Amino acid sequence: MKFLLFSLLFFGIFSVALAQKNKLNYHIAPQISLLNGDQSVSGQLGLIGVWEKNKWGFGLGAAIDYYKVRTAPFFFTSHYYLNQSKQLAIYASLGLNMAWPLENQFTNNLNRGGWGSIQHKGFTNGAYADLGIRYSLANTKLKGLSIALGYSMKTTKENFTETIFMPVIGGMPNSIIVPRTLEYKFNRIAITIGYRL
Amino acid sequence: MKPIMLLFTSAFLLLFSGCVKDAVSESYTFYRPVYKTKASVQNAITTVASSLISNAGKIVLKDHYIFLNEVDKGVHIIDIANPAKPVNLYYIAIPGCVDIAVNGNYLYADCYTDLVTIDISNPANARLKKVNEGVFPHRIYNGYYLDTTHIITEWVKVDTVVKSRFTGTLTQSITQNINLRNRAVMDFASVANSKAFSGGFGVAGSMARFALSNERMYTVSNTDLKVFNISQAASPEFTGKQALPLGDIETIFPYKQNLFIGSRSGMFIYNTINPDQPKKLSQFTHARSCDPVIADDNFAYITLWGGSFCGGFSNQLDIVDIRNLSAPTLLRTHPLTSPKGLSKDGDLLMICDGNEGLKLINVATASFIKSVKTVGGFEGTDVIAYNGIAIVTAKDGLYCIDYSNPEKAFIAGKIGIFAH
Repeated sequence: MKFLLFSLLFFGIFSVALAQKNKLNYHIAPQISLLNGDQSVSGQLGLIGVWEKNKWGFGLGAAIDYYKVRTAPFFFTSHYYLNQSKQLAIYASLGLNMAWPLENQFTNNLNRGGWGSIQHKGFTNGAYADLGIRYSLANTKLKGLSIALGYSMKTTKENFTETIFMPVIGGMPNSIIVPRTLEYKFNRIAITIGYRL
Repeated sequence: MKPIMLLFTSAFLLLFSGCVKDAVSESYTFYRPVYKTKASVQNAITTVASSLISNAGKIVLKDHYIFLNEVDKGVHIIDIANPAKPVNLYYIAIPGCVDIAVNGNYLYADCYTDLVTIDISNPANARLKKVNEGVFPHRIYNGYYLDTTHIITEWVKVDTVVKSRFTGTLTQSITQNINLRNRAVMDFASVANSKAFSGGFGVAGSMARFALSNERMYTVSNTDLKVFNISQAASPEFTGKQALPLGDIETIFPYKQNLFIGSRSGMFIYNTINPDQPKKLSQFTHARSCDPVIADDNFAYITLWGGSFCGGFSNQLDIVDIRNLSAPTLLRTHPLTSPKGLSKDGDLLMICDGNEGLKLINVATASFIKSVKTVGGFEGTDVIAYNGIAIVTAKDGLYCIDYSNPEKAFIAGKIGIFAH
């Protein structure tokens, strides 16, 4: 957690400094999302930093995503304004979904039969993507609230090692250790409120 | 703009609401059975050219031949006339075979639920003589109930992926049909290791469930003791069975008129004065573990192998005083590393002790045993000690160890096992 907070802080300071140096139109925006998924609703807290030129914007973002299994997406983001007032934009993000599960989010009761055992090995990182449309309620300096509606997807993989026995009835046990994985793909509708600083 | 935004939002929700279904792909491995008809399998029980050893099971010594079980597949016939150069001569394909015994010119083997009798008077031309059908009903794979016409001849490893919708949370059960996964009930094999047989019997290794004594063959399953009349060697007849207490039976060792039966929680002593109806004399209880057992006139030697699928954590040799067969008592315990099969020749006890190899122990005075020599370099499973040569099955091969001078015992020869 400390690592994540420090990363976000460092990212914010670094991106502001970079924008000033390159004379680009730069802003950062903390945002909070409501994630409506498959029989589950959860949330996401994030921060994006964007450099803008004309109607295009490109930047970086990080978030904490609590949908079903806690993860920390780190992503590149971009947007394109659909009108001159720059109130309406489409956006897309793509990046890494860093696994960061809570202790009670491990699958610990996989069904199985016969002899053998299953050892939980943890999660591995996956992918993160979202896209949608954003409407700015900002003032003329484009500061202030925005609301967005989009589709958000994240993946992660849960890994196990499983000892299974070759199907012999007699003789010495003849076991092998094989990987067993659960690869999740979570799809959500995201309603996001951001505040452009 | 606001009406357009509202319209767009509504359309978005309608169009994409079907997309918010979570998915999970489960990757796992299982074994799939390959079936053949009983008739085709029995027709194929004959000698073929030697085959690579990949999964060594029980062993039986007869004259200068070693009969080595290839677990669930057949029997290798190995000539050890020259222990320095054992020769893998022939192979008899017997699907589902995990236990064997040799009576004169006949090989008894299980073929899943059947007992097959094979004429080996000419090992180069083994011939099926008789099939006792259905005498080992416990030889059924977990979850598989074979019909009377088909036999599983091999298992194929399958890596598979099952995709499904994931509506739960990660702490809930995954709902794939794991029943597709096929695992077998594992029965630990046991020991019958004796030089007390009459001349016609082969000397069984210490991991067998078949024991020959007094014109009878005794077999154990997890829960029962079966008796076969083998007075007509070519035509064994099933004469009866009786339930064994506690279950988890592993080994049977015949000595004179007694049977020493090892289970994961103790040893049972049965008397065979009435050969068709063995009578329980006593039992000796020990910590739960895998436990091959052998015996002589005065003592029973039990190795306890813990930390395995048998349960328990004891790794030791128990020497049990059996001078009073009705009241066996523990004489002493000797710590070991990971003991499995054992054998005894005179005062010399030999124990396969995990990756430390074969341990030779002098037990002339059972209360004061003395380590003589350890022959290392392999992880032994089972051993037959006979006339100065110890035949040891190990993870990486079949070893012939010359112990004619116990203090200078050495590996005389070896046949490698090939990884599967």
